[in-house]
Parts: sequence; C-alpha cells; structure tokens
Amino acid sequence: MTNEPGPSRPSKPASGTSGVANGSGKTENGAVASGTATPAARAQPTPGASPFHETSQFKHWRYSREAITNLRAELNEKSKEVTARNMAAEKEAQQSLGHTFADPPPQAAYLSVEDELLLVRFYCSQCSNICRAGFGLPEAVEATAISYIKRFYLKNSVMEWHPKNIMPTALFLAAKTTNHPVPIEAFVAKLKGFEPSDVLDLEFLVAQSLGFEFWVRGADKPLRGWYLEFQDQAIPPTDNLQRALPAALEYLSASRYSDAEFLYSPAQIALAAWRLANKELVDNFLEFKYQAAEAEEGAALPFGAPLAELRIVLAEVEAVVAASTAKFDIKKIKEVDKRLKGCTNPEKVPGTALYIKRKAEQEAKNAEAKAEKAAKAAHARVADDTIFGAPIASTKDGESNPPQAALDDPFA
Amino acid sequence: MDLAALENQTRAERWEKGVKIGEGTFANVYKGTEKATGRKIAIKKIKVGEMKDGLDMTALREVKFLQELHHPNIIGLLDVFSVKQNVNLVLEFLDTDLEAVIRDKSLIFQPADIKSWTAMSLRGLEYIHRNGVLHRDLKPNNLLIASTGELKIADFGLAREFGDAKTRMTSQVITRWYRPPELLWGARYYSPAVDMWSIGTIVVELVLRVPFLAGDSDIDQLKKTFHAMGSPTEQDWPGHTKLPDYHEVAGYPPNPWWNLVSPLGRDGQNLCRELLKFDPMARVSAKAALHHKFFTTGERPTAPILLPKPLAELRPRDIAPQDVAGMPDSGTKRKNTTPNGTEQRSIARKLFA
Repeated sequence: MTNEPGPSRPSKPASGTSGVANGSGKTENGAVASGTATPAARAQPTPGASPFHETSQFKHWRYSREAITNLRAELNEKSKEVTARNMAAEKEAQQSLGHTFADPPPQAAYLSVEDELLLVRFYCSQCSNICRAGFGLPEAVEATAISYIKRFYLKNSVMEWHPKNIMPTALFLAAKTTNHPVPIEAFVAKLKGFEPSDVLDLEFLVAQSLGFEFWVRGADKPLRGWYLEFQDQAIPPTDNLQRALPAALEYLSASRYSDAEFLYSPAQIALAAWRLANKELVDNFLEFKYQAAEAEEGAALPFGAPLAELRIVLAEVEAVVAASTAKFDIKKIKEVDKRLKGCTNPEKVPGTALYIKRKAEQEAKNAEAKAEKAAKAAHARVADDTIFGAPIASTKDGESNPPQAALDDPFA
Repeated sequence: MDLAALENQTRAERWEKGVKIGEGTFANVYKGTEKATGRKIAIKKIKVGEMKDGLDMTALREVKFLQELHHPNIIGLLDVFSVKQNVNLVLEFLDTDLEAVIRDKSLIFQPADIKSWTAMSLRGLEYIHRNGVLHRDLKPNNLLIASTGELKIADFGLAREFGDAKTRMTSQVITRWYRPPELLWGARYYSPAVDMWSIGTIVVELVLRVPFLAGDSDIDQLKKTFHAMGSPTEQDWPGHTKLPDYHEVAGYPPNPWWNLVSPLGRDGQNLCRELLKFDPMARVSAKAALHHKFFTTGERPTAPILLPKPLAELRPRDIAPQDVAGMPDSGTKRKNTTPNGTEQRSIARKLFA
C-alpha cells in the first residue's frame, strides 16, 4: 500500500467497496442486527448485494448507534461489577496472608464508558505513531491494527485489559495478517519494557476476541476508487482533486480513531473524507451523477439511493469523522489512567494475591484434566489389548498351573 | 468469564470431535460431527503453543481467507474456535481430492469429466480472484472432492490479497510443477495469471494422468517447460528477459504440445493454450476462461455426482509437516515442496481422504 497514489499511479479501486455507497439501498441502521447476532450462525454461501456484503466485517462488525452504545454500557457495567467483586476478594486474600490492604476506591471512581473510549482512542493514535516512526510499516498494517484494538474493546473492558498491553499485540498480529510480519525480537526491541512473552501471551486472547476474523476492509481503497470516479465527468476536476488528496488522506487517518467503521461502509467513510477535504468537489460530482442518471430514461439510481438520502448519510459520517480530528486532552488521559490503576480487575494484574490464586486454581484444573485424559487413554489401551479377551497364560506345566485369576479367588 | 471466551465456548460446544484421521507436526485433523444435525465435518486443530513468533502465518492466512470466501467450489469453513492454546478450524468433510482421482488407474475419464472438473475449478478461482485474492498453491491435491462429486478449492496457507500498486510479493510460491515461468524467473509483481497457469497444467495432467511439467529443480522446471512448449521469444512474451532472475533457457524449438490434449477436441486444446500462455498479460483470466467455447460446445460437462471417484475409502495418512507449517523464520519465505512421484501422496494433510 502506498501513501502517494497520484494520478500517474492510481491503484485499483476495490470492486466491492468503492462505488457502492450503500449497496442494498437499505438504511444504514437497518443492516445492523447482524452485528450483534450470535456468532454461532455462520453463513453458508449466499451471494450478497456486493462483495462487501459477504465480508465478515459487514456480517459481524456493524452496529447501529444505539446497539454500540448499549453494548459498551453493558460491558462497562459488567466490568465494574466484576472488578468490585474481585477487589473485595483481593482484600480478603491479602488480609488472609497477613498483609494490609488499602480500601479500594469507591465504584463511583471507576472508569465510565467515555473514559474507556478515551484511553482506547489514545492508544490507537499511539499505534499509528509506532507504525510510522518506529517500524515504518505500511498504512495497511496501521489501519488493521487500529481496527483490531477497537474491535477488541467491543468484547473486553479497559478495566480488565489495559490498552497499553493490548495495543502491541494487536499490532504484532496485524503485521502478520497483512503480510508484513516482524520477528518478535525485532518487534519488542522497539517497545520499551516489553518482553516477547508480553506480546505473545496476549495474542491468543486478541485473536479470540476478534472471532478469528482478520480481514478488515479499510476505507483507503475506496478513497482511491473515488479518486478515479471523480475523474469520470465531462470536465474532470483534476487540479482540485490533486490538491484535496492530502487533506482527504488526513481525514481518512482521523476516521480510524472514530466509530465510523462500525456504523458505515468503507465507501461511505471514504466519500465523507473527500467531502470534508473539498465540499464542492464532491457536491459537484454527485450533482453531475444524479443529473446524468435523470437524463437517461430508466437509468438506475446512482449508488442505490436518492441524492437526498445519500446526503443525510454523508452528513452523519462527516460529523463522526470530523469529531475524531480533535486533539487529545493529555491531562484528562493522565487523570483517567491514574484512576484506572485503582480499578483494574485484580484478577488480571500479575502479582496480586488474586492473580496468583486464580493461576493456581487454573493449573490444578489443567493437571486434573490431564490426569483424566491420561487415565482415559490408558483405559482405552487396556480395552484395545483385551479385545480378544485376556491373554492366555503360557503354561508349561499344563493343568498343574492354575489360571492367574484363580489364585486371587478366596473361594478357591 | 470474558465475553470472548464465552462466545468461544458456545461455538466449541456445537461440534463433537471424533477420531484422529491425520497427524502432522503443526496440525492434526479429526473427523467430527455437528451435534445438532449429525452432519459429518472435519476439525483441523492447529497447535500454536510452541511457535516462536506466535500464531503461525500459514494458519492465519488460511483462517483469514476462509472466513471471507463462501462459494460452492471453495471448501467451507463452518466455524473457528479455540481450546486452550489451539485453534480449531471446523471444515466441510470432503471424501477425496483430485490427485487421488488422477492416480487411481482403475478410473477412466471421459473428456466431459475433465470439462466438469475444469469448470468447477475455474468457478471457484474466478470467485477468489474477484474478491482480490491470489491462491498461490493450486495443484491437484488442493482440489478436494466432496461425496457429491463437487470440486472444492482448499488450502489457503499461501494466499494473499493483491491489487495494491508497488507491493512486492515473494516469487517462492506455488508448488514447482504448477509454477508459471514468470515466478521461476523471480517476478515480484504478478497477478492472478499465476493461478491460471496452475489450472492449465492441471487440465493437461487430467488428460495425461501424470504431471505435465515435472521438474526436479527450479532450473530444471524451466527447461522442462520450454522443452515441452518451446523457448519463449520476445514476440511471445515481451519483456521477459528483464525479469529479476532471468537466465537464458533458449534453444528449444516450438512444439505443438497441445496435441497431447487432443482428446479434449479443438476447443479444449485452445483453452489449454490460452491458460498456458507464457506472457502473463496475455494469459486468459478465470472469468474469460469460463466464457470459453469449450464449456458450451460439444458434450456437456458431466454432472458432479456422476464423475469418476475412487471406490475404496482412502485410509488416513500422515500430514506432511511442510503442508501444515510455515517455515519458522518467515511465512513469506516459505519454500515449496514439490510432490515427489515416488513418495506416497499426502492428501490426508488437509482433511483425510
């Protein structure tokens, strides 16, 4: 993936995601149910309205605003509960060890949904920095890693897993799934204070939280697709396009820190990025498209929706994207992070009494399962060996040597 | 319990794991059933605990692409779940593969059978390419056959997306006998045409019943290719001498090799020539190949259920380690192993057979 497409080197527009604003013409929020559906039902081959409609992103990672808000509120509520419960358990465990334990902070000081989001977004931006400054990894890796982080926190809470630990693992995994693997030693060498095991131990958790769905459809290809589309006019606005491109790419970058990808299709986000960069450019193009369609009898609606409807969606996406361009309030982030120290689920913090206790419990359980498995295997072996009955005792002395079993027979 | 773990557990509980039917260094394959319906499935358990760089690239690629690609001619990934540190892929249960069919000398193929297998392969491949993916390891033992006779493309361990300008790709892909000359000469920028060449060699193999171009080394592969088909000229393939690892393999005279596939008739011969064009830019695409006259003239393709199939149930075999594992150092540098004619074929690897 390159950062400078330029007119001389237009990259191929992704067929599924570039031209289609909202393929099926469904309202945005109508397609949402699938986002929260149980993962159990995996689709059999069913052709979608466009290739995008067949992606795991469309099927499992799209939400309505209400759904995503509720989801986060629930997750936050549950984590608070679990954390409070574990705090109490930790206090007990510490005291039973004869340690003193400062009273945990009241639940009111726990992180709110907004606090959690703030931290997640901050670490998403940190991820960009590491990609660009640290590794020089292509944008595809960065975009995918950020999506992984955001998806991870739709299944997990910041109070259980600190984003500063999850971010490197998400990046490491994304580098592999986008064909730019970095060997683990080289990877941790760029991260202060990280050991290979810190990254690798969480990889499985992250992959599992992603539902093992690794292909993220970013808005970068559609953005370049629109670049080509815009030139398909009577008078191609080549100069304006060229001038607007850097700004459009900036907005694209900013869109990654927002919820846009959970709410809208990549093509919609890309178009919004263009419109934020140059409103007139996009409006003229849409005007042209719809007029051309009107002039032609029986022509289908461009982009599967009337212009008015498209404009409403576009305005929504623009608002979401524009909101994520705001600078981070570092003071606020530090404050939240400090508060987080007091309300991290002690079960997940190495070194706490509860962590040690849970680990011992897990190990005991594993050992038990292992023993059970071994016993089962041994039993199966015996059953196999005795399929034709017990082995015949080799008796040299014939009948004078009674069968083995009889020796133990108290009634013999 | 964490939400993700909970979801994982509900998924895992849908499937019953049965006996092991294949074993390898990095993955085991088990027979299994879907609890609700009793449907037969296969579970491929990838061991990841001991990998140095974490989750293996080959496994990640396989999961990444199978999660997105849903087509009747592509192996169906029904579910993914984990138990401890193992990734379990729940796959459609498939009886055999095209290599086993080709090697079973008791089976006689009609041209219409070959037409049917070719059409099914091309349908699956057209879908893969349409979705922006290169398979990069097509060969008869990656074309699995269901009990219904339907052909399904499997093994996405070397697959990747394409379509980003300026992205260098490794030329060390595709098992040697099915590898096109541009890769043998080290091309780092290539297209779906690489997969089309593989299909071409497979179609010829279906007629010959032995691999068409069986080189013992990468250099020998080029020699065998040009020995069979004549050395390319600048006119056949403009610019081929500029490829990174180009070395001259000239002097082989043109040869009407398509006479080898005369049983397929003139249209079949023509399709083979289109698939095996030296110049990747001139080689036919999957979509265009599907519109080739071969499929619409002469005998109709055999219905899948009527296609020849080995009678004896194949016994499980060991999974060749190279088939399930990436090279530990880097996934992109993975060396390909070429099937060795004298060796027992290792189809069990993907599923069993």
